[in-house]
Amino acid sequence: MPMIKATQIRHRRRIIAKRFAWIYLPVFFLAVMEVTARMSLEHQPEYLFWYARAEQLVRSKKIDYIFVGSSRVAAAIDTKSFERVLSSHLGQPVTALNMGMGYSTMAEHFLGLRNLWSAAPHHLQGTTIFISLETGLPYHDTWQTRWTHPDRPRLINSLLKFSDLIHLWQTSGLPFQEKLNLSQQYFRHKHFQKVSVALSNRESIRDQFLSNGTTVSIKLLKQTGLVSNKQRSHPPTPDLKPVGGIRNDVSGVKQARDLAIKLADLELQNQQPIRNWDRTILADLVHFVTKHGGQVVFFETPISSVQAHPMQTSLRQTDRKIFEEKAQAWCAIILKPRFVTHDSYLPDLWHLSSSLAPQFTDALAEVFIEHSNKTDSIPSTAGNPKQMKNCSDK
Amino acid sequence: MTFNSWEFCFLFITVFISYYLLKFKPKAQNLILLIASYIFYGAWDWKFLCLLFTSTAVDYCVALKITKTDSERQRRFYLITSCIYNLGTLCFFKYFNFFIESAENLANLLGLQVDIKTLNIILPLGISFYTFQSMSYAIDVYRKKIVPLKNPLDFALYIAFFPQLVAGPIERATHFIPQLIQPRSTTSNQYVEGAWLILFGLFKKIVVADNLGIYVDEVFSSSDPISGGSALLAIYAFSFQIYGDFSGYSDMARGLAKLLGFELMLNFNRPYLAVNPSDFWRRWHISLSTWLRDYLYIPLGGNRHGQFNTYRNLMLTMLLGGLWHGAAWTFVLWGAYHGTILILHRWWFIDRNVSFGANQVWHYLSIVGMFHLACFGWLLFRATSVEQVGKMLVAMTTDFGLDIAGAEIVFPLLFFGGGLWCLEWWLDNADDPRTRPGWDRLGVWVCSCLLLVVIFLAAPERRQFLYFQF
Repeated sequence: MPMIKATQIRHRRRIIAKRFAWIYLPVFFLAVMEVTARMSLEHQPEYLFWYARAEQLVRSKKIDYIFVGSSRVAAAIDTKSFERVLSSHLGQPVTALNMGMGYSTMAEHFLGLRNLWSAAPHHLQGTTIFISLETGLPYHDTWQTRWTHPDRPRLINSLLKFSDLIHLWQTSGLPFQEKLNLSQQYFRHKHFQKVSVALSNRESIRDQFLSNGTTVSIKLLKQTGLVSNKQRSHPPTPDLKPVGGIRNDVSGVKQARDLAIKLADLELQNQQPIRNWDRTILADLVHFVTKHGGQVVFFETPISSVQAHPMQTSLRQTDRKIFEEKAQAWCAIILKPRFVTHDSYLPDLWHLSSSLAPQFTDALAEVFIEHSNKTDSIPSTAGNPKQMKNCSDK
Repeated sequence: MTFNSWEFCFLFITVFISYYLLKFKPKAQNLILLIASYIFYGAWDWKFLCLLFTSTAVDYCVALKITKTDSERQRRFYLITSCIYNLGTLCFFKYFNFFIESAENLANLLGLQVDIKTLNIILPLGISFYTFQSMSYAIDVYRKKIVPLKNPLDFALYIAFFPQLVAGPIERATHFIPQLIQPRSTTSNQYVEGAWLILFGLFKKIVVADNLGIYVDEVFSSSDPISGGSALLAIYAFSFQIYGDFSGYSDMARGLAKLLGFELMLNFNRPYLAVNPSDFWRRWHISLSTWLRDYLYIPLGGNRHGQFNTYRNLMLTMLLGGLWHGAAWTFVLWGAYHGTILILHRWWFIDRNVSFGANQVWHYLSIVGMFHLACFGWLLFRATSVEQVGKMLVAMTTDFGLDIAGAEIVFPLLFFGGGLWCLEWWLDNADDPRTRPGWDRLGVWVCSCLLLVVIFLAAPERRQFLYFQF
């Protein structure tokens, strides 16, 4: 009898252990993933993206120039060239950051810059913010319009703070569903990140896994001679840097060209005056930067004839004049680099060729230095105190 | 709202809790399911709920009218009314622009300058599925296979039952209605099977199909010339993508239904293990192929009127089956291709009675051969135009090399496609994996790994289910 009882107990224990495995094994797997993710992801610089990455940088060193805008800025500005020209002029090393990003909005840039300033205000004393005039005029979004671009709604994730979320629900013109998604993403990004690095970085883990697997498989295929090194029968890649969301494959370039033509046509058909600059996020950004001891400079980026065409209408000419007056009132200068643009310089009609970016950046740096010499100000951190004072008096 | 969204998760949990609380009250449970089904459908576009209501109302009334009269003429009149309404709606929303454009192209080809305006029509979600389901009910009542439902809410639930409303399985009234009107309670086996099917379906959809879809889209949307090797790998990848997508949806639908105490019909039975075309159609989208067999092929005469008529019926059925999938010539071509291989198979192996015996090697060769025949069909199915089919075929026959771009597909194809294939082979299509040998030891490891893969390797972009567009 005791033998039977002991067997029964052993059997029961085994059953319990088996059932318990349905809990501890998945939990164990998740724990292993969590530990691995914490060990590997947090030490990778790529782990942080865009303004979050810049935030890390600004904590450790002084930033003198920040370029703000869309993927046009990402393509056209070569920060190394800019740093070289300015360093040799000033006789001291300077640091420039290119925050140009495809499908970014002015709201995102405002929040990003604000975060930079709150991270290390002493490292941004007198920093110059270069804002691109996208097609003759800068972004004119207001807080009441969309805060994100519909094609890249997650870009804002790392920029939001809780108070922004309240502001977003109160003012933004985003549809309800998108506000909801953003709020959910915010909590996931800000708080869930602390709870589980692995779960909140699932996409990075997946990308890493696939990229490692693909690398190994290609290596093996090459060794067996099944795959050639050459990109056979592929036409040469267009001269574009794949940064800030820019596509440099042939079909991507074709799509971008078609889109540029379509949008230019639409712009010509539905031109509305752009006048009320005081209500824009840009106005808030300019006030924010000047209030914190920085200065704002607007600059023209190279644009194709397709996109320049709608800017030639009398309506847009007037808009442009009004903006120039407004920029003056804001104590911001507008720079027009001496760089002649041909459509062939912009393979997809949007972005400057990567080989021409240093040339354009040099031209911009030179015109900036010239302007600073004229107004007797140092072309870096201090701005023009006299002018500033006059502007704030106005 | 798709099954792999948080919104659906919230809806289902709410429904599940209230459904459980109303145990032993089938009428109340049905009402809850009906409301949830309309919310589910309305979340996509509430305006098209009217179409669903009308379709439900027409077939509910038609079925009652058919049983109330003894006159064969009147019965037929009511049935034709149902068919005209259902097929008319389907034709208008799905095929109107296709027919207009095709007529215009034909006229232009004949030298007539015609410019007919097309309409900006939105295809209502799942219209092909619920229309066929609704129509089969009217036909079954006409054939006296079933007694029509008296309660309009029960009938509305048969049409709109949310797990299978937008992408099937196309349920038969004879199978589903008896479950609807009886008191239900979910058994513990159903809970296990339901949970397993949902997990496995999620793996097929968000891991296998969505990940492979990224590579497939890149090749099929590329305007650059592609090598033959890349084209072939993309077709293989698509064959697993479409299978993972559609069978994943079906698994989830069946799993969700099981949790609610319903049994939906099996829609896929490891189709890539088919040994011939007719076997393939017994395994692929079973609910549609049996629907076409019962309501089209057999009424056309089936195989009862000689060789030629059988071939004609096969071809007509497959052509219409192809067109059911979408309003484009590539789908018609796909249907014609499957019709042709079915006819050839029938002619060779049944009419000429050629046999290779029960040879194991021949069996495996047949599986490989049929898989490649199906893959060729997928090329026709996935291509954006007939020209693209030509280009890819030329690449595969003249430039059979593998470049770096093509080699990038190898790993995901082997990992996701191969992984799915091995798992399916082992599971042998069992709803309850506990019946498989070795499950006792390996089950917990398999489920834990699947869970991990679903969590960490799900494709980042939530893609619509491919079959939603049909």
